Amino acid sequence: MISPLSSLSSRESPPVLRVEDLRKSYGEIKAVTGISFEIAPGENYGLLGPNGAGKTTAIQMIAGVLAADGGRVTVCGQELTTGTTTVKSHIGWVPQEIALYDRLSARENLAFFGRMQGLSGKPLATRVSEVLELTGLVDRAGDKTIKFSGGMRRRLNIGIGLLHQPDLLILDEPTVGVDIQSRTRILDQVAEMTSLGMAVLYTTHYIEEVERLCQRVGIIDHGVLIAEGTRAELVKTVGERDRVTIAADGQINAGVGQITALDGVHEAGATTDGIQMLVDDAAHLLPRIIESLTRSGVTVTGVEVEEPNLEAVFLHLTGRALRD
Amino acid sequence: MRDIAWIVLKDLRQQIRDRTIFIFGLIAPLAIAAALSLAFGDFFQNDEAVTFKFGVSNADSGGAISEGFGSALTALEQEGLVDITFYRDRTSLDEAVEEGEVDAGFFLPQGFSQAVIQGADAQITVVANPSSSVVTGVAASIARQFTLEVASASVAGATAAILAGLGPQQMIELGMAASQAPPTAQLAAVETQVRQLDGATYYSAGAAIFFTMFVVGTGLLSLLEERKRHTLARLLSTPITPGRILAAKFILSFVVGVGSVGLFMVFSGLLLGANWVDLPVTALLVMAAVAASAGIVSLVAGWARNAEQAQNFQSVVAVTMGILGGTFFPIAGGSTLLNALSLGTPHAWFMRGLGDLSGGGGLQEVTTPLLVLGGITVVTLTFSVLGARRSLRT
Ligand SMILES: Nc1ncnc2c1ncn2[C@@H]1O[C@H](COP(=O)(O)OP(=O)(O)OP(=O)(O)O)[C@@H](O)[C@H]1O
Ligand SMILES: [Mg+2]
Repeated sequence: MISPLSSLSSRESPPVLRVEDLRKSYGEIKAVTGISFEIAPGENYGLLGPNGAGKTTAIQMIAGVLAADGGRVTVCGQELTTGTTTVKSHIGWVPQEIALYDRLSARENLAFFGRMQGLSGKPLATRVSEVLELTGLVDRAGDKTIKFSGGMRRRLNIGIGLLHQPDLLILDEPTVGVDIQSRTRILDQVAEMTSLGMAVLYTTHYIEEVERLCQRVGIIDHGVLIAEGTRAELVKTVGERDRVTIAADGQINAGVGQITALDGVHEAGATTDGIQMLVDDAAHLLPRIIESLTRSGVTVTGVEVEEPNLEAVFLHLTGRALRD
Repeated sequence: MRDIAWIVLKDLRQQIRDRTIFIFGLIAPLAIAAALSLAFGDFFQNDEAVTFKFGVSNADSGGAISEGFGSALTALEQEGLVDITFYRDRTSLDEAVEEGEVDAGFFLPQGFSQAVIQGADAQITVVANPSSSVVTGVAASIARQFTLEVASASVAGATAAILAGLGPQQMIELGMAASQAPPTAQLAAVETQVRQLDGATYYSAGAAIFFTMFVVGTGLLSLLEERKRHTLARLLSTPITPGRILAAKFILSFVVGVGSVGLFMVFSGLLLGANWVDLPVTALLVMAAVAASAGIVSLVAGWARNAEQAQNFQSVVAVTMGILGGTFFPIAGGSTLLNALSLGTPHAWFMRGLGDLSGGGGLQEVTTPLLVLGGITVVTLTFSVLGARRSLRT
């Protein structure tokens, strides 16, 4: 079951995670500079940002494996630091890197980390079987993970994080290096977890994943949370306009001048190989735009229309495309 | 406690699967014992009965103290530890040493007793051939111990003069003021170690404790391997604390270390004829020494930045401490500094413990070594837990 981006239902209940003014520097590098947000039970929160934005740093502090320079993390009402222990079992952290014992089998890896989370006996055995099923690794459960493919390792890496059914599942770019099928499967699993009431903190630089999975999104850049909200709320910040990109040759600058004058066309500008603009209603205005460009001596070779999405929001907020 | 046990089992399983445990636990002790036996087997067999031959020349004939020195040596002779020959004067003593008639000589100058009694500068000169440094060490330590014991307050010093091998004119005089010398008890330890362990046992004990440092590394340094492979971070995201993780690594290292040193001692007994006495107390000493070594290596594991650095550092520490601790050759007769440094190593205390034990007497003979080894363990473990915590904060 995949829940679409929608506004949140359960914001009233106390948050599973509260992050307040979290900060971390590595020497001169300010990796995270004062971010704050909350996640409600059953909510799927996406942390979206380019490479080096500070996602992993933030997440490691939230998971209690990296000491923060300042700020506060509260999980299920209890403060969490690297020194705390019991609260940690409320969290399932899936690190960005594969963290498995390669001389142990998939089953042994699961059982070991399950025990570290305090599971044992029958409940542990049941959960291990369930997770093997969920990750599609039943057939390979007894193989040492050194023999696994990258995608299988990724799946197991995720499986360990949700073995003990945490209240908060933290996933750090879980789909990197995974084929389309596995990726779909992982996303479905995450959505299912959310529908079962688990809160999820999901980082990625894939916009599609966030759009598909997350009810709320925080956009992080240079260690700062620059915007936050539901998809609809964020899109509003760029205005509900379509982004039109036209590949063109010829009198580009003249063309830009012409179309700027058109009603409903905003922020038109030349790019390296054409013209870009925001348009109130592209389907309606596009014929007139092309006509007016052609008249001013521009040869149009291609047209692309994007309805407003998070990519556009990111571009608007930072002046860069997310996957620069 | 159960989480610690699960980590131990997990590590054990990994060690079995990648065969580390067989290499360090079984093959290495056998190989080292076999190599030692090939290298020294015959030598030790003949060596058993050999005693040190010392010459004495007393120019202070009739002096109360110098005669006492003579009788002290005669007492050692009666124990079968040394052969004593008396020489008329310094020249004939020097000749005897140079020609190898005796291994080393003691010269007591005229007025020696008087000087001791008056608290003036009294010296016993040790004449030795540099080709036999072990004997020099023994002789020097006997001389020092005597001067210290006789009148630790009034004897200003003893001098060991070591023939440089180029002739008597080029003798090097090493001033050893009594004030610089370590306390009597420590000297006694070094001396008894040399005196009481036979060759095969001495070298086997040295190899055992030297090898221990490497065996315990297999368990403890896996901490850094876990860091590299991100499983350490994952472990730390669970309710377990860094201290418990380190404890698990320590326990496995300890168990494998004791097992493997035990096996080595069995092999060295069989192949070299090493003679391990009072097995329960020896076992205690082994456990204490393995624990102390594991403590030192865990310090390395807790503070090193990565696995490679830790491995290199472990080797440096193992070799340095091995030398300082007298596992390759006795350090008796070395400088005061060397003696002092050696007391910081588990090696020296292990050797000393075994030496003390070989004289009979059982547990109470080795309480000091056991306590010191225990102390080293506690201190190093404390600091390594601090190190493990700190290294998570970057
Ligand atoms: N251990 C470290 N030592 C020094 N600098 C670090 C360390 N880890 C991260 N950084 C720096 O902190 C900043 C944020 O890194 P972080 O890994 O949190 O980014 P990210 O958003 O997770 O990126 P990616 O999408 O590439 O995973 C970067 O500039 C990075 O170089
Ligand atoms: Mg990252």
